[in-house]
Amino acid sequence: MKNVLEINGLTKVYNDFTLDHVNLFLPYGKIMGLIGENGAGKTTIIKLILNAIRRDDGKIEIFGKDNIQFESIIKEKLGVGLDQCYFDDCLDIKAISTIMKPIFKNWDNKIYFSYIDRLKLSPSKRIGSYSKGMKAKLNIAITLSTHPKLLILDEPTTGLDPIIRDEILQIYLDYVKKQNASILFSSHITSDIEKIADIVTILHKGKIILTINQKDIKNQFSEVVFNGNEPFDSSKKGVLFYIKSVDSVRALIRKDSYQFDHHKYFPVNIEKVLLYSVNGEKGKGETLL
Amino acid sequence: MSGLIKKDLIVMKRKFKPIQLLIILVVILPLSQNPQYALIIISLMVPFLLSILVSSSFGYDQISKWEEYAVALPLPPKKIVASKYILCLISLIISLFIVVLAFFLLRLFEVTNSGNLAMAIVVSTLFTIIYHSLMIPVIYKFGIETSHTVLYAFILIPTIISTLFGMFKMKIDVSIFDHSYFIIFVFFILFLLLFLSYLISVKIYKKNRLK
Repeated sequence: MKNVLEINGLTKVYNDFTLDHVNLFLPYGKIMGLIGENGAGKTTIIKLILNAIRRDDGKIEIFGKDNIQFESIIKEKLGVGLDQCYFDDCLDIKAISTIMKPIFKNWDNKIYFSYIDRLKLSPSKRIGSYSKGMKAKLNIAITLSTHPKLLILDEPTTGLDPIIRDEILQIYLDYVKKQNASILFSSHITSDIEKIADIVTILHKGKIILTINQKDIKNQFSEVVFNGNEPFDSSKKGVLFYIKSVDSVRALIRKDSYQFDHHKYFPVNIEKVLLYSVNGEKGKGETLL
Repeated sequence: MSGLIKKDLIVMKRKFKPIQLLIILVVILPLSQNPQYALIIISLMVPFLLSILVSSSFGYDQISKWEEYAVALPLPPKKIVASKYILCLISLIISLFIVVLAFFLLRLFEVTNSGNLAMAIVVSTLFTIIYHSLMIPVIYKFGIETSHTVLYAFILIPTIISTLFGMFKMKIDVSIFDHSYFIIFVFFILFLLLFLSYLISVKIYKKNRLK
């Protein structure tokens, strides 16, 4: 078993949205960034992984076990970091350890208080008086105190300033390196995904449109710009997406199949690929997957 | 599961100071002002206030969106639901402790006709169990806001019953509380009701969660 998380044909149908036969494979020791616009289906996938909503089709295996049949066993080894702190405002650091210790067999008070100390969280203050950044840091301390082997992080840096975001990402990176853990990191902040992810999965309108090693993005894709008077052929081999504007056409191309010419080519990053796949029109010569 | 119970107890302890004060008043005032009726008042009012405390824990869970986080914890739905029922039993134990304490205080101050301890225990248990057996499934099904209707009904029910007793000149034969088999029978029925309520709540919780 080389994958810590395997999702096959995962489908969830709502009245106005369908998560459509999603396949996702996260190898042990890797970080996958799940990226997509708001409403693309990122949180739906995470809820299905946690068995918080009923799936309509498909299969999810975590640590090689079915996520529904072995739910409690799996969740003992899972660290879940969400976009807010779900503890009552009147609780404090010590009360949270009192609550969490009997819930998780692997809860480690020593680790918990070492993170509290490292993240400079005040033990005497109640959570209600914490800033959003402090609450996000508290979430890290809670999530990592159970020695999780897989971290499921749903928008853990949303609404935070760049300094705290960087600090949080660094802590997660350190943890993964030390513990050989894996992360499924959902976010719409592409720069965060760039900093942390080995693999990037782009989700759009409930469908996975690309899964790629981050380092391959620059090698595989490029952007080409056609000025208004230059002919552009959307059916040309290698054209994945294109965006027309008043005076130009910009296209995302796959380097290994596109026949290069005299045009200017620009390197692309995750954000560019996301923008093209969400806002662009599909080229007729190639598909992303 | 004990983590969830601890969470609710800590939150209750930190948030409900006005009601705690009210509970102390409910015990002290009848003891000093109307010692003859003190036991029956305490046996009704203390479980009532403690039951509100337990129900409020759902409200605080809702405010902190705890249920969204609970799905990430290694706890099956039946344990999450059971924690609320255990909280109900803890509130019952506290109620009964206060009732027994009040009874011995009345004895200590040689208040005659202070009432029947067995009856007070049955009344407290009856109130707590019926209240939570109805309230917890209602909260899981319709939410904490709707459950307030049930609370109003609970305030009205004793008034309606006492009015009916007055209208038809009915009397309760308190000697029935001297028979242990009667008390055991009542307790058996009540705990059966609580268990059935628990099974219904688990079913509702699972259905609501896995939409």
